Amino acid sequence: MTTAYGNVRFDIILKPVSGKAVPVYKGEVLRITQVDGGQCVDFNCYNLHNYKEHMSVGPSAGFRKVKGDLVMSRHPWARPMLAILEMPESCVTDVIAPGCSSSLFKRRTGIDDHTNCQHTFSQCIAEYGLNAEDIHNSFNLWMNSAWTEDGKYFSSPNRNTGKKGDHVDFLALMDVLAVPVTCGGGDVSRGSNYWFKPVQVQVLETSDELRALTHDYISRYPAKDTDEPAKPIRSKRELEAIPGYQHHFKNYPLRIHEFSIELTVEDYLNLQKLERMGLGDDDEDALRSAVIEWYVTNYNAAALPVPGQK
Amino acid sequence: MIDECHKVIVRFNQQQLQLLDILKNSGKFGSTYEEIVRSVFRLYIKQTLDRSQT
Repeated sequence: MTTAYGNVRFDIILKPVSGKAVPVYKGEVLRITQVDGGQCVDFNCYNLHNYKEHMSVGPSAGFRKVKGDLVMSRHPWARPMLAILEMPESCVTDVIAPGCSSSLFKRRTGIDDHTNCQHTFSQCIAEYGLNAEDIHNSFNLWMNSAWTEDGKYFSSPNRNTGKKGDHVDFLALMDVLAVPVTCGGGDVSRGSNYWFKPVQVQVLETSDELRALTHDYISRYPAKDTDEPAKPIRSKRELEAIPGYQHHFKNYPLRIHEFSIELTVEDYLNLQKLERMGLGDDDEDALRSAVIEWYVTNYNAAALPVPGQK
Repeated sequence: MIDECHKVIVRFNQQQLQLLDILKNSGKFGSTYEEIVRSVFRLYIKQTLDRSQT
């Protein structure tokens, strides 16, 4: 069953090696569509009301984000910005590559002035007063990256599998500035199959169903006060230690509570089995590990299911 | 040689103790920290060793 969206509010074709910063309001859907297929899209996203809160690109739910996943903001906010409502299997995603740059292509190809996502991002966000220093790591769509078992990473070892008409739908869970760009490196890599193609970007208005879904997502991640209140944005670039500064680490120093636990013979034999299985270097380590591991595995009240996922 | 009853000294920090408090307040695992540690340990054993035997 598909979700009913509102009307198209914004519609643009991104020509090759371009992008656009687009406000998407809470409850609206950002749709990114392959016009011809095979084009990698790099993506940045900011809280429209506080550019310091931007998308956190990391493997919070694995190295490939898929339909049903959330896109979270960076710490200290760490809250859902977008929900992936639609994403075809042919859209392989990547959260590792930071977005291509001119220095990358200088090294790879010897070309000084090759198009690249860092530059395209900077041009897009400049419309909103941001600059290249505000670009964050990219959430890459239709980017068929791979890595080996020993952790060696390859950004585009495979051809782009995006098909004509493929689209990804992001539901905005807060007002955001979304910045999709067509990757500028695909003419010299398999990232876009050695040829740049256009991409369509649309914003669809909210609907009763989208409003309900937005509320559902947000309610499962109750707002948490950040550990520290927002500070004024620094204007000074040089870093110097503040004389007399005192740290205020949370729960520091730790308080330790000691207990003497009586175990039966059977319990103790089981504890030793755990140690042999690698859960702990000694009796105390194994007992503590077993208790805490059971709690976080079985008794985590905060681990609520995400809408649309079982 | 293992005695009839074996005592293990175990330490928890205050954050870990909060988890034990949640279990304590549920009333399902015992009324003292010692009882809770023992009963949760047995649950873990049941889950882990049973799984490793299947």
